[in-house]
Amino acid sequence: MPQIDKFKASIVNTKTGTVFEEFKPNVNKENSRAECYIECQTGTEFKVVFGLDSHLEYTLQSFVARVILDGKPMAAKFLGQLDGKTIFESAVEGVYTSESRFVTFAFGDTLFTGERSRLSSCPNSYRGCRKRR
Amino acid sequence: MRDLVYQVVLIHTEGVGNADNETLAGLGTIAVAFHKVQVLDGSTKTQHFRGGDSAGGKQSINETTKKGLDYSFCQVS
Repeated sequence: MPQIDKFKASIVNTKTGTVFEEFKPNVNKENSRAECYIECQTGTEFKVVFGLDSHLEYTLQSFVARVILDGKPMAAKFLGQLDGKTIFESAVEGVYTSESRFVTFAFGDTLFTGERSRLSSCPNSYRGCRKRR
Repeated sequence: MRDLVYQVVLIHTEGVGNADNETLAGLGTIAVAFHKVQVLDGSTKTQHFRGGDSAGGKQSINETTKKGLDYSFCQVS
């Protein structure tokens, strides 16, 4: 799990609850950036789990976590202290495409030809796809 | 390990100012950017925050989901 100070995030298989295996973890404290790679498993539903560590030192602070997939903002969640409670963790499993329609995240089809990449969607899930460079 | 992977990026941008868009725009990227915010009052339905994005000013938060608090970047008066 890439982590910077008190911040952490992971990608979790929605159905099994398993955290995706992470490769090449890299943390750059100078620009406050951590990164790793996970395998794109086409069709697998996933959720983005993120939060703060539970150290009491940080419980008086408040943060907003923005989730961005393929450069597209998907959600923003509050973390930290609110109304006497502290929210340490939150997750985003999908997005509302209308007021009543919620679609889950899933890895999109993998295309191995061409040079340009694009996002695609299907009726039941939000899918990001990527072509091989 | 396949060479086709999703990159997971975690970014912390404390204080005013967004994480730069170029960093967040990569295709095949799942990014989480953290912004420090400040609670300005204790109202229960709408909490006011200051800072956290380049627009500054007050912002609102609405308790609209069961799993977490959705944070809205819309400005409130």
